[in-house]
Order: sequence, then C-alpha cells, then structure tokens
Amino acid sequence: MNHISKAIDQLHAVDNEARSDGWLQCLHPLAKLVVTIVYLVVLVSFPKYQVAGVLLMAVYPITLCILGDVSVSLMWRRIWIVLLLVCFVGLFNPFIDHTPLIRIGSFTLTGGMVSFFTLMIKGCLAVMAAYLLMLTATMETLCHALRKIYVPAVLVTVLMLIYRYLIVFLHEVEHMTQAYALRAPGQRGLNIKVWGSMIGQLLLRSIDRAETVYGSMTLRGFQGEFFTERPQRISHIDWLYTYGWIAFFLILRLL
Amino acid sequence: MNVLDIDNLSFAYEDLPGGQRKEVLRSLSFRVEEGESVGLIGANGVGKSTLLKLICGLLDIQQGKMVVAGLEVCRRNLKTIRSKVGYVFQDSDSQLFMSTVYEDVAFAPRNYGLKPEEVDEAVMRALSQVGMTERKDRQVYRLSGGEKKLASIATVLAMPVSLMLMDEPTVGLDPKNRRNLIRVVNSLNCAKLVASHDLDFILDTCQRVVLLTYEGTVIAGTAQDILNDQDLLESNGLELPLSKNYLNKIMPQTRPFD
Repeated sequence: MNHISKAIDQLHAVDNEARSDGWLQCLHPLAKLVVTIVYLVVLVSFPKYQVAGVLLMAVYPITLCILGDVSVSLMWRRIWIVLLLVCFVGLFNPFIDHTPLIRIGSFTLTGGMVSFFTLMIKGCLAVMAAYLLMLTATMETLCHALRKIYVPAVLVTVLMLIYRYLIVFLHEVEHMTQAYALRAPGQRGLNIKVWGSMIGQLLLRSIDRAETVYGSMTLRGFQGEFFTERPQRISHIDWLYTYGWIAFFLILRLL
Repeated sequence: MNVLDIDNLSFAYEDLPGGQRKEVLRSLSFRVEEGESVGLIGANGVGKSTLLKLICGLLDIQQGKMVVAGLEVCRRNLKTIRSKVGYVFQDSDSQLFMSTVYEDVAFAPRNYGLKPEEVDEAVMRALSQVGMTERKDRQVYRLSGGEKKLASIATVLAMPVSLMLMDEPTVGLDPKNRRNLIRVVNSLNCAKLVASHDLDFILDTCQRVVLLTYEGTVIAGTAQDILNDQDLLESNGLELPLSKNYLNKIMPQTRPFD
C-alpha cells in the first residue's frame, strides 16, 4: 500500500470513527464545535511566558482521549507533521528574545526559549483539539453546526466541497501513482522527468472527475447549498458539557 | 404518452484541439413512451453518453428539439426536468459523493425541500426497491461494485422520476450482481433508456432498441429484430448478443428470440 492509499484510508478511518456511537460522538456537534472554538481562543490568548497555564490546558484533549477511547500515540503519529510547521514558526525565538528568566548555575533560561516551548505546546494542543473534533463529529454535522453559528452558507458549502473533492483528488493521485509504480518496478518515488506530465495529467483528470461529480449533484437538485443530516436536539448534557468546559478554560486563563 | 420526444437532434463537439469539430449526432429522432424500456446501443464514440447528457441538460442542445415529460429541454425548464429524470452514471464513484449510502440517497430529496420525515421515507423506499435497506449506514467507499451500482440507482429513485437514464449499468459487475441488476431494473415502473454494450442485458431488460450508427443517425426497432440482425450489428461495430451466439453454435437451426 502506498502513502496515498494510506492517506485515503486514514481519512475514511477518521470519518468512520466520527460515525461511531460513543459517548462523545453522540454529543451535539454544536456543543463540540463551540467548546473547540473557545478552547482555541483561550489557548492562543495565553501570554508567551505562561507555560504552566498552557500545560494545564492539556487537560481538555487528554480528557477527550480518555472519554473517547482515542489512542494518544496514534493521534500523535497523525499530527506530528503539522508540528514541524509550528516548529519553523518559532524557530528563531531563542535567537531574538534574550530576556533572562531563570538562572540555574551557568545556564540561563531566556524568554526566547520559553516562548518557543510555549508556542510548540500551543500548536500541539490546538492541532489535537481540532483532530479530536474531527474524530467525534462528521463533516456533515459540523457543517450543520457552523450554519447554526451563522457562518455564511457559501463558506460552509465550500468547506464541504473541499472535503469531498480532497478524497476525489486523492483517489486520482492513488490511481496514477499505482499505474506508475507497476511500470517502474524497484523505483523509489517518481522520477523527476515525469513530474511535469504527471501533474498536468492529474490536473486534467481531477477537473474531469470533479465535473462529473458536480454534474451528478446538479442532476439531483443541488443549487449551491448542502442540506445535510440534522443532528438530534441539544440536550441538557450538551449544555452541561459546553458550559462546564468553557468555565474550566476561563478559570485556567484568569488564574 | 411520450416521456421523451427527440426531434431532428444534432450535436457536435466544438473547440477540439487544433480547432477541430466532431459531429456526433445527426438529425436524430425517436420517442420513448411512459413505462417503456428502451436500449440505446452503438459502437464506442457514436454518442450514446452524449445523448444521455443532452436529455438531462448536462450538455446544451445545439440543433433540434427535445421534450422530456412534456417540457422542452432548455435552461428555463432544467430544474423541473431534472426532478423528473434520473441519471445513473457509468462510474458509480462519481455518482456517490456523500459519505454514507443514506446521506447520498437523501441528497436529492433534501435539495428538493422535503421535510426530514419525508426524506427518511423517500430514502427507505428507494433503498428497499434496490434491496439495500440493511446497508444504509455503510460508508460508500466500503461498498462492492455491485452495491455501488444499486446505491446509484437508489439515489435516482429517491425522487419520483418519469425517465431513468442508465449509462453502461453492467460495467464491472459479476454475473450474480448483473442478474440482480436485471431484476431491479425490470421491477422499476418508470421509463428507462439504457445505454450499454452488454446486448444480453439489453435483451433482458428492454422491449425496444435504438441503434446509433457511425453516421450519427438511428435505427429503431424491437429488441428481437435489432439484436437478431447480425449484418446490421456488425456493420455498426457490434456483435450478436453472447447468448444468441452461444445458441447459434449449439443449435444452429433455431432462432432463439422468435
């Protein structure tokens, strides 16, 4: 199985997980969405030297992992690549900010080092929160929740289409790379000479496929807005979940 | 009453590489009556899929006239026509774009503004027509080729269609799934226009056959007449149905479709 096939399988696995009937999955998607948004806002708002507060914010994803029976190591394997990008963003902090914060013998812990560490933790927790949201709510129900908080229909439709076309696109890449691999045995990756034609072909095939999918949608009455499944009504447990977590985040932030 | 009325229809693909123009359909005329099942046959590239796309408005009519369920095919009527015409694509993966079978079948009823309980009723009815009720919560990518084809048909049946267009419905199906598809297609009451190279399937599901020739014209007749005419089929890039060929070999003196 090549990398593309694995990526497709992982996408489907996330979708499958979101459809399971676990306790977290059964919560109203609006509750999960609002909690995640508040979590991200509070997380980002922590000052750059306040490591302790940021570390305490890890309680939320860890609790969700426990409640949702999500393997932390599996999640880590899937999100670590995003952390490389975060790492690049804060890479120069230690070289720019030399403010001494703690001195232990001859070693001085500078503000740059702490802010870099804080940024890494924030990035890690933010990605985990977003990933957990995807693991516990399907794209359809999330889009429904987004409409509930008055996100414009056009944005929600674009989001849905991107998600659908991403899978279509990956399937095209999978077919092409498999066809290539079968005729280039023993070769690692794609030869640089074929990159141009492969990308061109991929673009044409993707457009062709996307047009067919869009044709299928318009033939079934699609007029620019996705009408997805309506989740169940918001229950007391959903309210409790939402207010409970928001209160917890605010207490951590204000302490 | 005619569900489909095609009169003097011509179509050409323009703006091809090198400024070329390829004429596909020439002065084509034929009709499909209510509840009738018509096979659309012809060699590769004669315009079967093009014709199906013209009927449901995925391509614009250039010349001639076409009336579907009493409405002329033009931009003004497209929304209504599309609610009366179902199109089963050759590639089920392009037809099924939602994550689960239920969601995909519910796509059209929701778009046409049905209430949630009506959507549910329409979906369950369509799924039961194709025998997929138990697989309603399955993710589309986990379905087999035969199941995907049945799910594709269910997506069309979720709305009350007068005419169902099917493009190569048996491609990639094993004999058991193919047999099941024949049963499902024969159980549908709406009119059907089935484009296929599988002439045995056409023989099993259609009363009439429309043959698209290399010249872009049509020869219409009963399934028995057209599919028994070896010369006509061979001059248009086709062959006798396999069952007919087989019977000819073992019983050369008989005419199996008489």
